[in-house]
Amino acid sequence: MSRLQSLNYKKLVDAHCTSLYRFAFCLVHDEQTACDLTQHTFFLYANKGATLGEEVKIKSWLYATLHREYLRQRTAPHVEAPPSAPADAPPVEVDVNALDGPAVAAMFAHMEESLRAPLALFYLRELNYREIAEVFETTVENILTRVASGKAQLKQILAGRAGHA
Amino acid sequence: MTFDEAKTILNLCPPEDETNPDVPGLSGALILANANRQLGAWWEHEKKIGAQFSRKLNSIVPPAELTTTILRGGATIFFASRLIAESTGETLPEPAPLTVESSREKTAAEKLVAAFEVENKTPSVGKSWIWTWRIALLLVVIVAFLLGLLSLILIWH
Repeated sequence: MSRLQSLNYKKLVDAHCTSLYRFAFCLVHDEQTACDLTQHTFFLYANKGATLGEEVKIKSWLYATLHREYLRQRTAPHVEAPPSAPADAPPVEVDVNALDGPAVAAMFAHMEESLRAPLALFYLRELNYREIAEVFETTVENILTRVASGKAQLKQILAGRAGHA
Repeated sequence: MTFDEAKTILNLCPPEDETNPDVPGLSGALILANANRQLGAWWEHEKKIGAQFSRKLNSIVPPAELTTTILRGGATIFFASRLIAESTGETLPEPAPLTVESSREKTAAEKLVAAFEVENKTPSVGKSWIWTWRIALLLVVIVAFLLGLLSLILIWH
């Protein structure tokens, strides 16, 4: 293999492997599936990395590819009944610190599909709004709307969780 | 700007990023939150929750062997692509050097990549030259010994 190609690949895996895995975990909430999605994304890059062009686009390309792959592999819409509180319920104090990372990611599983991925990227802070918009091939305004709706839904899920506890 | 409008805007501010240029009206909403105690308290609470979510999601750790598996898989793909290209006479496009942004996990991953490189390291040019000189010197000594032996035999006869 070309040394430069190999070096580029190592740099990319080094910089984005962990964050891509976290994004995948927020989408599927399963360690093995998240690993598979992350691996598959990097293998796709290894196949066509040299032809991708601009360096700055590669990060968005990785996240977009992982998300596309997730949507492709999904056999059926995975909708669980969220233990949510009514929208007009009074705010409940929830200690997010008491939960671990996977438990917080699990709450995303109860969210609407179109809100889950942008909100996960919003909290992971690896991409800015413009890059998130690139991942979903939409406008920044659309992502802002989805983040606002996603946060409202997450609060309901949190409140529901607190109510059940 | 009303309080509700300010709340809507502040709600879009990414965790620990109060200068985000993509959120319209953010600086105005922040001024309002600083000026009003009630809105300020709400904003502090929201910031705390947002930062907690962010920290929790960023604390998820992938399995230790994931990076190694991805590096090995990539190496296999590159090798196979080169073999296919060589057999078909095709020229693979050479990528430009990549500058990747820093990452929080860089130190650990760097160690892994360094270990991977050491594992696959070929002997360096300097070392191979030392060995060439040693062999050449040994050959000179052997030839000199044989010539000396031949001279002694000739003198004897």
